[in-house]
Amino acid sequence: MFSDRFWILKLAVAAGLLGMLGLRSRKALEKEQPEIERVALFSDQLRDRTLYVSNKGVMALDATGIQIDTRVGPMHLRTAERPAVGSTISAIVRPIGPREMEVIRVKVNEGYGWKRSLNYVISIITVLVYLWLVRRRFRWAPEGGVFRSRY
Amino acid sequence: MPDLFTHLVAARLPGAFVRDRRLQALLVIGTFLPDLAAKGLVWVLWSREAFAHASHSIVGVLVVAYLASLLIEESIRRPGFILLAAGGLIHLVVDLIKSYLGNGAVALFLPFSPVPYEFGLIDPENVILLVPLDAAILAAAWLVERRYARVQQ
Repeated sequence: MFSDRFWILKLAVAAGLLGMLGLRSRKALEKEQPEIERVALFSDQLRDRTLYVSNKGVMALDATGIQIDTRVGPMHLRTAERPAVGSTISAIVRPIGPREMEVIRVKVNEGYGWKRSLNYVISIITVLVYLWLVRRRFRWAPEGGVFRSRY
Repeated sequence: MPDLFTHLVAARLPGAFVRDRRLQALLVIGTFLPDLAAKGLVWVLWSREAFAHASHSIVGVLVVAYLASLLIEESIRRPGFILLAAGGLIHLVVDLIKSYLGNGAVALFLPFSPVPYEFGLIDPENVILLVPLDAAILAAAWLVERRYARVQQ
């Protein structure tokens, strides 16, 4: 399993396994936790389900709740909370009709824009700097493993 | 997702007990792998997010660690795989601290169970605020390691 024999074959099998794992996971997750975009075409399958709304921008407020932006256009959340227009929210919701959901819990993500951007910047810098720091522990050698030890 | 600096610190602390510096590096690289795999699948291969969630499961960590271990030389491939996988599992534990309003942060048992779990300790977007604390912990650990190494000499 860890030898160099049939190296390419092992790489292909592992990549194939990852693909299969991804497909099965996607199927399982889409059944258990459908994306909120599916509420655009409300069906009985969605009734009484709870869905997670992740980081959606608030487009407008009205008397009964808020309108959020999604990949399939605006959707309405019924809630007594009044987050500011332009803010980003996450919520647990229950679908009650086409493009209409009832909020169970909602959270305003203060500073979402800069926090998420900073997260990516720090993450990219961390990976690049760490790999640069440890580069001397390994050397590039495509035969017998791409990264070979220097020791 | 917590930033990868927080993940680095979480893996670097137990990494202090790994004598072999190559394997120590693989433990830290292993903690980067779940996010690198997930973002690679979504941003480069245009996979759906639900597809990429597989990288944040126990089976996913093992498969990605095995794939990565094939890139290192044969003599350290077996321990390298173990350290890469350990790093990946540390990543999952760190991700579990996030709070998704009780909805669950990590579906650990994909593809067998899609149920996500969470400890619900911190808002996912606020993990970035821990970076100064992470830096202080890393610096303290580095100083302790240096002093310990000097005493050993």
